Amino acid sequence: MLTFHRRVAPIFTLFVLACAGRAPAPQAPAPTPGPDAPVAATQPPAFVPLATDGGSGRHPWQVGSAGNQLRQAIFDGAWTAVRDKHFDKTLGGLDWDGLRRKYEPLALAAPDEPTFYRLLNEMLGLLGQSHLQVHGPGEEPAAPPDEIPPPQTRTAAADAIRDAGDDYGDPGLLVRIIEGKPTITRVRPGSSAAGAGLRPGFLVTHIGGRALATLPPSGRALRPVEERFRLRQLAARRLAGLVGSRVTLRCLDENDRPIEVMLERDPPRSRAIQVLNMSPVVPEVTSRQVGEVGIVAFNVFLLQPVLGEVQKAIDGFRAHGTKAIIIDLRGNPGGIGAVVIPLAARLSTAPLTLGTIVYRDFSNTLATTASLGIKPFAGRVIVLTDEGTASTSEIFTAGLQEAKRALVVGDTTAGAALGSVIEELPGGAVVQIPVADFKTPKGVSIEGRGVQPDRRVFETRAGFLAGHDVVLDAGLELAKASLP
Amino acid sequence: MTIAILVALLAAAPAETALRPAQAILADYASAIGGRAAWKRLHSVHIKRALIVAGQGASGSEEHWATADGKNLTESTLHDVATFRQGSDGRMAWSQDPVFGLRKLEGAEQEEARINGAWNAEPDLASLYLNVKSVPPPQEVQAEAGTDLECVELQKKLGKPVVLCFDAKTHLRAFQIGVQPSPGGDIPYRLSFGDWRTVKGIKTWYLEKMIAGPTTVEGRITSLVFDEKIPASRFKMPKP
Repeated sequence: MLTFHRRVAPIFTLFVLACAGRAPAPQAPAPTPGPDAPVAATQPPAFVPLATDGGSGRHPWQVGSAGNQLRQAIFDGAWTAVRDKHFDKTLGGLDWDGLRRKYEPLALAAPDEPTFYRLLNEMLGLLGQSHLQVHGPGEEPAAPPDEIPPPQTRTAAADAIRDAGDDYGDPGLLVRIIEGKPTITRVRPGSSAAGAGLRPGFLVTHIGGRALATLPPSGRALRPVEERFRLRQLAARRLAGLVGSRVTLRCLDENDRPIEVMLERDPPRSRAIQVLNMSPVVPEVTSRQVGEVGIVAFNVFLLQPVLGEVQKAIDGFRAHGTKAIIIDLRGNPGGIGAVVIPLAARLSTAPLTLGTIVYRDFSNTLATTASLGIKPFAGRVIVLTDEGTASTSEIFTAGLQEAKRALVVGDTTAGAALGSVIEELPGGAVVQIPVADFKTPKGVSIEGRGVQPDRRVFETRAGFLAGHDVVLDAGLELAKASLP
Repeated sequence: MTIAILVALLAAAPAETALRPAQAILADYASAIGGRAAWKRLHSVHIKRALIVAGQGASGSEEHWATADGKNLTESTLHDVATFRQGSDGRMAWSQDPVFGLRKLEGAEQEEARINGAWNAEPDLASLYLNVKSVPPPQEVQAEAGTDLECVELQKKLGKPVVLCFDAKTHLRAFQIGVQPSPGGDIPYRLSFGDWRTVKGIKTWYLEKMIAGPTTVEGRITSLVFDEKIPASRFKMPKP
């Protein structure tokens, strides 16, 4: 009568994350010139902010940098969590005790917090896997001098945003690596970036005064798609910051003329959500219909509110007699892994197995079941991918592709498809640990490999300058070709 | 000399010979939690729990209602994540969650629901299972217990058996080890129990810790009310 172990299955299922987008925590503030100086600009998180520390108004990373005791506790916590929870008990055959002996003194003696975290991540990086990282206060180097803090003028609107914890935004552009160069691929209408005249196809050389061409050192060699994924994340991180603060952007326009603009960070369009220690994210679901083809795009796998809105869009397409659906997962870094089950169930009239999650001591199948009152969509399904399609997005895509339920159009995905948990460490740090491998029903591992598209589409700078979305165009062509 | 040999032989005897019969262990448990008579006086229960997912940035709440005629409903919410329900109208068990939707439970899941939903079966646990037998304490819990344990294995009609371990001194439940059937396969779990309190003559645990794979969830009772009037409509399966 009293036990709650009947909830083992749903609770357990929900807490396994497949999200490759966990952002570094924001940095410690740069030294301020005096007591009356404005709040120092901070290096922003990848999306939007962490929660504040219980009402003081300060973010956790503003409390101070990690002392040696704290560093020791963070190192111990991360090292032990990986040893005890990693899905591979052998840790790839690495001498984990030996690595501790090597890295612990180096990390504890690091001259600053960025070096401490870099060394810790270098040790974790030797496992050569995604979903394995430590982040914490002070991890990012000091903010560059050409960052401009937000104005001190208080407005009711700005206060309301800050009260909601949604005081981080971005200037409204997406930077990806196209033909080997950081390129603006999307500009949000009405954003600061749009107001400054930035357009898709412009090349980006510097953000906030720092060159964008190279990544911070990694503990292991990165695959090309991984490099592009990380540079994309790095650009997003540098662009995000306190609403109202400004960041410089140096670009080459359509004629390769250098331009420099100062962009203000716009407020987020809706409230940020933070669940299960993932980075806060502003969920976005968009849907539209082009002829007999429905298109739905979303930027994270969450139960609330994303799943319901995507299901509603699919149901709406089905009700309107749509013959094909395009699911746009470009730039979607994953989220709660279990969301793939109800989503796939909406797209398959027969029971469908997407693959197996292999934990340390047992396995669990990602299989759809017949839910009462659900009418699945039976038409053609196309999934759009790029280098930012990661983790849960890859599990979903790989499962549908192998079951021949969807055609995949775009680029190879990130190859970061493991189940993970994000655990708290002392001092506001967190460690993400891969607790499960993923294999498709045919036993294919997507980690380190990615999903290969059925139709590969190469994006070019010229295409972006001309205003084309060649991946979507290819998806639409394929969808329409199948229509009776 | 003879005594010394006898002591040595006893010490070397296999542990199995020292196990008490399962029925005796369960009878002691029934007494320790207040006895059958105290439990039989109850007609309904309404429990509220607070849930904390250790170190993973999540918490939640849970409510459970059950009545003597076998109806029950459990509604669990993990804040900002999901709400899930499981219930029975006394004949048919169902489940509703955002992952698998609304469905009638069948097979091993139905059997699990039958056992979990049985009204006040704590003093009569053996009656819920096909058979019971004493087993040595599993290593994984003996080390953690810090006290002697007595364990029984209970075989369900369907699915894998569950092992219950009791504190050999207090005879109260200490651990439960089993697997939870799910649409994706069996999920191994381990429960531990603590903070025992007496309410209306029965003794029950207020603290329950579940470990399943890398996840640890702690449930703590915040309110427990017996014999509250609960309308039958509460236990109806939701409409699709």
